[in-house]
Amino acid sequence: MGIREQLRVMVVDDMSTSRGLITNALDSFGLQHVAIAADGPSALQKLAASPVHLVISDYNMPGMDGLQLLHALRSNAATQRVGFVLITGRADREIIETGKRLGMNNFVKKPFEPAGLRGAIEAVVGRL
Amino acid sequence: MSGGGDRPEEGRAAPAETAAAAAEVAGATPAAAQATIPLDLLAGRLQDELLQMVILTGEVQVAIGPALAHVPRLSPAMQQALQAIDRLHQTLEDTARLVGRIGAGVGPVPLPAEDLAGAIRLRHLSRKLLEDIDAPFALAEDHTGEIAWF
Repeated sequence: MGIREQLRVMVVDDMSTSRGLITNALDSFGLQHVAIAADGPSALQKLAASPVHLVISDYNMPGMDGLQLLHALRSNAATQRVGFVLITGRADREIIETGKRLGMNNFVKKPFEPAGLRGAIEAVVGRL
Repeated sequence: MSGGGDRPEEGRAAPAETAAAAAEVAGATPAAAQATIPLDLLAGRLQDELLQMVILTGEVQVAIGPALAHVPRLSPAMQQALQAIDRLHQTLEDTARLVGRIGAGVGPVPLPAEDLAGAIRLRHLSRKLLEDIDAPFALAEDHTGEIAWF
């Protein structure tokens, strides 16, 4: 069984269109196990019940932003090793440096293209 | 979404009323006065309108987002265009908040209503913002019961 069949991914984004586009891209890569969450707290709840290998999260979300979600994941023994790709419209140094410090594995700048997202994922989990 | 704290009070006179009343006191005819609208009042109405657009954009997102997940093929151009909805939504939210703050910060500075009306192409929007009349149609003034569509 290849990585595409095994990899479990969670997409976290408060914007329904973005969630749909990311999920669409993952579908086109052949990924079969994709969960979604509309915000950080519900992502953490779902991850506690059903762990994944990789979290793809938007940065700009109300309440808990993508980096706060990353911090929460890295602070919990059950989720501290999960792969994390941040999708952000503001790829400025402060966000990227903070993300790296918190253990972000990769990031994608918005607006993204499926090929770019695929490359970012493959850099974390290996060739799809 | 914007908090209610940014929203100026709506208890002021309607735009045309302010200058017209002042003109009457001064002995001039109301028509001679340049109608004005206080900036904070206009900013409050603009904020409301922008928040309505935020809600509409959210409805568009809810309608198309789930359907996108399984569309067989999206061109790169369509991918880019659809991502603009996300940016539009968030920019409208921020702009609504900012307009509310500007209105509250600057206060009731009078602005010429007629000049502003010239910048608005949608008549319904112009009446909503400058006259506080929110109706896509109105009954004719001759009281025939006929509806005058704009």
